[in-house]
Amino acid sequence: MKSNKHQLLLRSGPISSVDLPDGKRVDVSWFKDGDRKDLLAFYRDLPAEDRLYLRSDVTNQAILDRLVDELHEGIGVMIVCREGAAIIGECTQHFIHHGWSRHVSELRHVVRREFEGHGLEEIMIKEHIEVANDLGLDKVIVRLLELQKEKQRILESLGFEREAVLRSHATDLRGARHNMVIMSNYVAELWRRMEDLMRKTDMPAETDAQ
Amino acid sequence: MERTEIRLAGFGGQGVILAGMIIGRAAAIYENLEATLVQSFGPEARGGACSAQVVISTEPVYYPYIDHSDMLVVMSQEASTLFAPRVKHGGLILYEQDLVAASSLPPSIRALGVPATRIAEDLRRKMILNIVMVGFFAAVSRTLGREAFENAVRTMVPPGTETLNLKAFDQGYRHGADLLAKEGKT
Repeated sequence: MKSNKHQLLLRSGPISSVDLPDGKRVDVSWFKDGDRKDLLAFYRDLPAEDRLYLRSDVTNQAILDRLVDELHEGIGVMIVCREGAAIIGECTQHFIHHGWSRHVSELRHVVRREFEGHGLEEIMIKEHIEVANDLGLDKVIVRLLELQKEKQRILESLGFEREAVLRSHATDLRGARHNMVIMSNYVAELWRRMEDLMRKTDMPAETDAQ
Repeated sequence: MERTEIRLAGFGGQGVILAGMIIGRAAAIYENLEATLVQSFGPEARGGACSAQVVISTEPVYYPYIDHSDMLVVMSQEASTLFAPRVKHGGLILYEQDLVAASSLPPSIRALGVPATRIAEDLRRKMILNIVMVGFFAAVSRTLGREAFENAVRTMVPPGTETLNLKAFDQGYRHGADLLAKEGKT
């Protein structure tokens, strides 16, 4: 994909920084090629259970290289969080360029557990929603286990809604089955809400009459 | 802060009232000031025009209406024609420079323009020109701290739209700060 859309995907540089209560600082930025080695170390350090959430086994160098190649080809965009020299979280948006769901993208995000709850996921997801906006996508989805309540709460605060539950759709490391939840953010709908808000506040009589 | 009277005006649907609500909330919630907002339902509100009167003060606001304002934030020529003559001497007019002709503004009143529509279009959401105007107002009016405005924007817009709205605010703010720098008023 080498088009205007591809140009929109060429994002680089810092996004934000977060100061943690323990004095550490986390820098959030767009993925760059030089992050590849640290990304591999990040994936390899993740608990095995958390790695099941990822689309592929990126602890394998060859598979990670393929993922990075996909990023260069515009099949996805990635944001990484760094604490010092180490990557401690990432959020990737995968695009579906062909077929029925070409107006939809999918997010996957993983943050090392000790760094959860500091707003890193929110920062990364908000940036990805803007990417989806820029690309004119209608919908961003996230798949997660039904028992991941805190992640669902974060997504709801960012405009995602629980759209479907796939029963016994995920298998954990111990072989237990779990329900999978699909949460959706109707990106275009968000801006319709903004438009509605402006119209309602500017012209209450007119909107009441509708 | 002495009683500060701000009028915002434009077309219905431009987010004029939302902009006024953001300014009022920034003052009342995030700066612990007193603030009132009155939406105009007078004859001037007809024909698609829309205006809001915001009063900010450290003292309780017993009278929320404005005759001549200290500041006018204006987003349409029609509204400018109506309200620009009703700005106090020594007041300030902030105008959307592609929608309001600078030549039509009273020469005796300080006026600063911002290409809010173009900035919003560059952000791919023309509708948020009102938030650009709020950012511009925040920079040049010097009524409240920037953080108060940002918090108000963040809490007033629909969830999921905060990032882009804050970018719009930031771009308006930068434009205002640059203008002040050129005027030597940083």
